[in-house]
Amino acid sequence: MKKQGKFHFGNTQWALLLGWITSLLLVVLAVGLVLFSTLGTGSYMESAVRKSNFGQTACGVMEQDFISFGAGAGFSAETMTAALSPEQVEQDMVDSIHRIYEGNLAAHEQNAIAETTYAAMEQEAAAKGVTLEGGTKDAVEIVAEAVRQEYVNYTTLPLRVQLGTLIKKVQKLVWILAAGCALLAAASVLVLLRVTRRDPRMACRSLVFALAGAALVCLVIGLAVNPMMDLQRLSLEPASLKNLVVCYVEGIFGRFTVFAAIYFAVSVVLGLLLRPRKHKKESAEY
Amino acid sequence: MKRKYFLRSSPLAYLAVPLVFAVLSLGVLALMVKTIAGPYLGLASWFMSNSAVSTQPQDLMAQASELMEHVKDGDSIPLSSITYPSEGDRYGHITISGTTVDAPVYYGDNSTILNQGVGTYKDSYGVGIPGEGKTILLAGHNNTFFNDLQSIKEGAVVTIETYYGVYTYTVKLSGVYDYRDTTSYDFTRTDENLIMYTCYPFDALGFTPERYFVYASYTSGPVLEQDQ
Repeated sequence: MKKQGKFHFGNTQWALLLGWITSLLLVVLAVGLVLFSTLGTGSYMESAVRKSNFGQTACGVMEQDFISFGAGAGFSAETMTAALSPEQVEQDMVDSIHRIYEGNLAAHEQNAIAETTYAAMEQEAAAKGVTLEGGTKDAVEIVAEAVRQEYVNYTTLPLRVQLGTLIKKVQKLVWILAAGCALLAAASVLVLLRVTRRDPRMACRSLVFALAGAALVCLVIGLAVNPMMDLQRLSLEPASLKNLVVCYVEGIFGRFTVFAAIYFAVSVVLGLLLRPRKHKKESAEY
Repeated sequence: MKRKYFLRSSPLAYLAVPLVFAVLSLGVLALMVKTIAGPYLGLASWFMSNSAVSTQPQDLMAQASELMEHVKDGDSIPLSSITYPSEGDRYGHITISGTTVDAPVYYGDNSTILNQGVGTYKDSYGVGIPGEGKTILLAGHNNTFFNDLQSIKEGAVVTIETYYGVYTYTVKLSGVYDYRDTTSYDFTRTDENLIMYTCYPFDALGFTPERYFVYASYTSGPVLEQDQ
């Protein structure tokens, strides 16, 4: 009687424990794969640039600044914004991102924008009957250089060196993390199957519990973390960069819902396979 | 036995057990995140503002008529009774006698503002808006809104119509300074005074390191009283 009253850590408890460990490892595996497919790849950031309407927003702010430069330097808005296009801004940002992923952390000099702007200013000056030479040429070149510098700032990610180092680390470590988790999860499943070898039903149910548990955690991360962080409160300037960061981070968490769907689908399939087949038995009796 | 039956056969177990697993896993993850990313999360919170989304600039001059009906010259208005402008808000209109300067006045002096009119330099203590009893520093582009600042004469009257009252200032002095010359303004003054500046020379092409400053003293307009 005394023995019955004591807690006995039997096969069912082991199955549950291993099921939870498998579930946790599946979540960590999802974290690793999400990080690898987002922070680890340039194409994800490229898609965030396009989704966040980066080109249009950055172009809008730069237009205002360039027009302001012109209003101080004696040139029209048309001249100052001659070299700007949202498509080009977006493309230059995408190129800058790919350079970081290729390990080139130096900012692109964007000399073409200075040359185009200078040519437009020279043309307007000529239309006013002024030839750019001497001190005037130098003064106009300063304006063209200011335009170039601002363009570089808007089409380059800040903290490039730190970001480049982080990306390299993530690309290396995440593979180890994902592979390690996959191996451990497989080992955990094998042990679970070994422990429950006399009870296949419990083994399968434990696997369903593990997958459904992992799906639930992924769903919570995918749907609840974003609203909790409230990224719109992010005080980041310019607006184009803020939109990019918000879109980028939201996308990362959004990817967990994909893993939630995968885990959930697999658990449903396993659950369906486990259904007791009453009809067959009944029909056999008849 | 009941517990074993529940785990092996009850359909409810498909909901209850994964829920327990999820809660446990979230707890472990939260602990891991707190341990590993704690310092970074603290840093991230530094980038978060308390207000949700920055508000759009307002046209405060739309409130002008109803407010100004009750304000007479020489009156005092409690500062708390007016909406203090935020960056980008249009809060006034400037005209200068003897010139063609006639432009809207905005709070702040970023590029967007200077493309739309005259901007007001803002900081936390040294400068202010008309009526505050501080230095008011207005900036405008030499090729647009402040182009005719070049015609200004000593004694000219600067009128700034705001949404809470009309202010006039008398031009006393003008001068040309380098853009890095900090002696061209004094933000420690405790009397109301107006400074307007623009790039110089007015007709120059390209970057100009010189600025044209106009200094004017307060003549009339309601005083904005600081709250006790």
